[in-house]
Amino acid sequence: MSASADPAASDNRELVTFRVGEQDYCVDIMAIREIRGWTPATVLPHSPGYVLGVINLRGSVVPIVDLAARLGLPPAVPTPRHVIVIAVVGEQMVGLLVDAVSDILSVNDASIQDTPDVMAETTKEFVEGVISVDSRMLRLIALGPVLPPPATKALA
Amino acid sequence: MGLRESLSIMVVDDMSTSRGIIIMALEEIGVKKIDFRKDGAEALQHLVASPVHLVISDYNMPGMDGLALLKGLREHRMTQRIGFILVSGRMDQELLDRGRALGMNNCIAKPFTTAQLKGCIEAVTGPL
Amino acid sequence: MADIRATFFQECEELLEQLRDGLEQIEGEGDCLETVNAVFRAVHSIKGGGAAFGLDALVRFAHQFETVLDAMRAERLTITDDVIGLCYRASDHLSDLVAAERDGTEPAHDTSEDLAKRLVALVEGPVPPGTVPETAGTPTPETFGFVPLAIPIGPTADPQDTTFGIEFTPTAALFTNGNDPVHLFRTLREMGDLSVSVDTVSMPTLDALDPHNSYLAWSLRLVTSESEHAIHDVFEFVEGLCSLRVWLDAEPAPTVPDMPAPAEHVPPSDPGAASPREAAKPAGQSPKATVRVDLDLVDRLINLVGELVINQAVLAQCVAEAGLSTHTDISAGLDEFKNLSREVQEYVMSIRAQPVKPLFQRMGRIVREASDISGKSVRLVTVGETTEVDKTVIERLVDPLTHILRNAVDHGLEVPETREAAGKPPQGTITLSAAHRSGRVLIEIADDGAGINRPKVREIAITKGLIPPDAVLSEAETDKLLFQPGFSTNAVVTDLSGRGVGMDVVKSAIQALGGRVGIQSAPGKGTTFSISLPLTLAVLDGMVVDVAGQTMVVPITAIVETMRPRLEDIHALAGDGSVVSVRDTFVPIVDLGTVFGHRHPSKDFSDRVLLLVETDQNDRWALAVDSIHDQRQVVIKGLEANYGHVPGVAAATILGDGKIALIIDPEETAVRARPTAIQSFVLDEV
Repeated sequence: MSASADPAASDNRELVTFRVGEQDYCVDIMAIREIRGWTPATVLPHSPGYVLGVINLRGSVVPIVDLAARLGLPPAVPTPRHVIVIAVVGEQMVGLLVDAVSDILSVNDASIQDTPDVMAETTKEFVEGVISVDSRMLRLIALGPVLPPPATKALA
Repeated sequence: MGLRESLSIMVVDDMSTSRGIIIMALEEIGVKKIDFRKDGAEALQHLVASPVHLVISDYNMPGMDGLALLKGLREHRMTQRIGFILVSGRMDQELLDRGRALGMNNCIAKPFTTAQLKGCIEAVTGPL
Repeated sequence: MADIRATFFQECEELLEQLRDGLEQIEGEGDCLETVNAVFRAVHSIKGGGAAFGLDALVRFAHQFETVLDAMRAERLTITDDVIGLCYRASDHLSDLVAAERDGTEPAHDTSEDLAKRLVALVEGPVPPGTVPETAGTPTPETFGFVPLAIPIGPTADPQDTTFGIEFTPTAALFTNGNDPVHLFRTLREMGDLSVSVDTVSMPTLDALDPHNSYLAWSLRLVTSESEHAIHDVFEFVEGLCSLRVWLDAEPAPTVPDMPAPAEHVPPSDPGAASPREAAKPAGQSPKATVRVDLDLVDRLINLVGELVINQAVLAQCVAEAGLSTHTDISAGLDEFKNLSREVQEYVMSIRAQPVKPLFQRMGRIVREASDISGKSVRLVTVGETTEVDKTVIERLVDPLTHILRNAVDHGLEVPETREAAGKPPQGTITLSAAHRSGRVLIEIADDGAGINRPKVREIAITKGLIPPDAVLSEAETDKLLFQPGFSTNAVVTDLSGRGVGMDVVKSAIQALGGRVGIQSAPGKGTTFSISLPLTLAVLDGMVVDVAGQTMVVPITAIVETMRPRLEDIHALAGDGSVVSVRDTFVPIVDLGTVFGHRHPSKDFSDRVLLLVETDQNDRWALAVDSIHDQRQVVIKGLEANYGHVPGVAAATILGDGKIALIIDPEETAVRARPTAIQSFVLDEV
């Protein structure tokens, strides 16, 4: 493998950007397994409100998190136009319900800024940093804290 | 064809580790015709139908032990002239005396080096 | 060499098992020479292998151990309980030494030295002549003045010629397959002196002769230096197409035990009647052949078969939806597909099944150690060691069983004086048993100790705030308090069981396996823990039901019966509860829709179906569902990997339409739904 083909060797990383509520978010493309349309999930009893249920992803049972509700925004009302971003955190797979996937961006690590203090505590917990692109603010999601609590506990 | 190529040897040991070690040493020496059995009775049955030049057998085996195998070999016309080397982890006078009485050709104590095994075989068959 | 080394460690496991088996046998049935010999051989073989790899610490210790066993088989050492106890300890340590060498870790030298000293002390006394002290190094044959006996084998050595008799009767198939006896005879002639005579006895008269049949048989005599096997090799390609008999001519029957009589062979005059293939089979029954398979491969295979079963369900649903009659070829084909995939699944699952014996042997050691530390004398009796359970289940049972057994020794059994005062034998007994029971595996750990001290348990539970001081608990409910988080009956944390882990951890470990743990206790008589486990972690037979628009699966094993209740059988209780009368007993109704939050509580069960379930504690519940869809085998998909435990839910599965359905855990569901003191104070906080 040549040095240029190794993503770790470069400071650039690719981010998948998407919209949740009226806001722009992004996650590292390396954590994304696939992007698929919304399909109704099987409801999990006694689960937090932001967990929409579980879906079958080629034989795996994957929980779906309503990212809007998780981030403290008004809960989404899923429609066929919604999109599920399948992400992998550690050994766990989770689906994030978002409004729409916008773009794939290549950014330099240096352009990622710390989360501004003005953001609400709930938001800060889930945002690793922000990136300014074309006068828009992209929030880089910290995937670990976004996971449903039982799973987070199992990870620790 | 040298003796190394023509010499046929049967290794008898219930433990696959020791069997493996003996066979590996024999291969290193250059012996080509190596067969093995996991117990004395099975070896004896096979040898009666299909004799070899030399048997290298462990002493400590369940059922028929090494010396019982030797006794069986010596009692049968087809196998009585087969050379017999006893391998044992515990060598003592009593074992050797019994072996000698039964017509044991040589013996070797475990653990051994390939060179030691070669010397032990050559003492029976002549230079390999 | 690395290969042989790996083989050695695998072989050591087998030998250590034989060693423990032997010790158990000697302990249980007394010392028969055969068993002592087997035990000796096991240690001796480990030593021998270890020496070849230069594993000095292992060899040194094995040597001391072997010396003791040698004294035992020579009857120079009387086998007492103490001796057996020390042998167990030595075998445990030997197994540690093997593991240390295998994993490249540092063995416990202190233990080695201490045990070695104790072993030496057993055989102190006159050293019999001929036995060489260890320090003298490995004795060579020359040490004893052995003179090798040479045999005449030159490079041109010509093994003695022997005469073989051969009887050969071809079948018609031999000729139709393009073989010709003449070619076979030519090959034989190259091996030595051959004489051939033909036997035409079977030849019919011309009018009865079928030109396509074979009527000839040949008798041959071969004088050769080759072996009997070499002769059989010549006939290798016509095996099954002829009847063949080869024997040593003019040779007395060999005096080898178990030699098959040559008379077993098929008479040559009747070639068609018997199976010639069997006649040609070499003598001697070889053991069943096995292969070692990477476990990952097995697991991938299991997953694939699971997908196949789901796939079959999807197809079946498609066919049903297309409105095809059940008599069409496609339906018949699908049925066949279903049967085949189930069969494949069963076989694949059985690859993972293993006897619980190694697990039980490991537990034997746990009990020995626990009995050492606690100073209580304990005998472990194991029953049903050959019971087979999924490998993963076995692995994950180690910790819970260890914990329960330590607890049994530490808390369950009394000290010898107390036992004697109670009229019991001073030595305590713990019975560890395994058995298959109605599609599940039942493992029981029973001690003959004092039983659960219920007043004390209650007192502690109140002190720890687990129950209110005025709680009314049944005996069974009191016993179950042991499984509550934060409960430990021991005020002083002992070395043994008080390691900050409670029985609640045992319970959750068992539950994670889809199992259940129960407890029965009788004061003064003892305590029994029963663990019931699924046979496999991969599939279960389930009843597919509809609950408030959600499809769910209830394990069939839990269901006693299903019923559509008559209005007059349902009785409302004060508060939210209702019961249904089933043959004169009242069974509480649990509405799955309410328990899982899909609808508000209701007392109208008129259009519901009730599934009567029975828990391991013999409690009965009626689970109310809207309707029953189907009964089928479902593939179990864990929720834990990507999410976590959902109360009342055992796992998930994928249905024919590709959607996920939850598999409910009837017992957990029922217990959660039950409005009693124990539930509101104890179970709700889980």
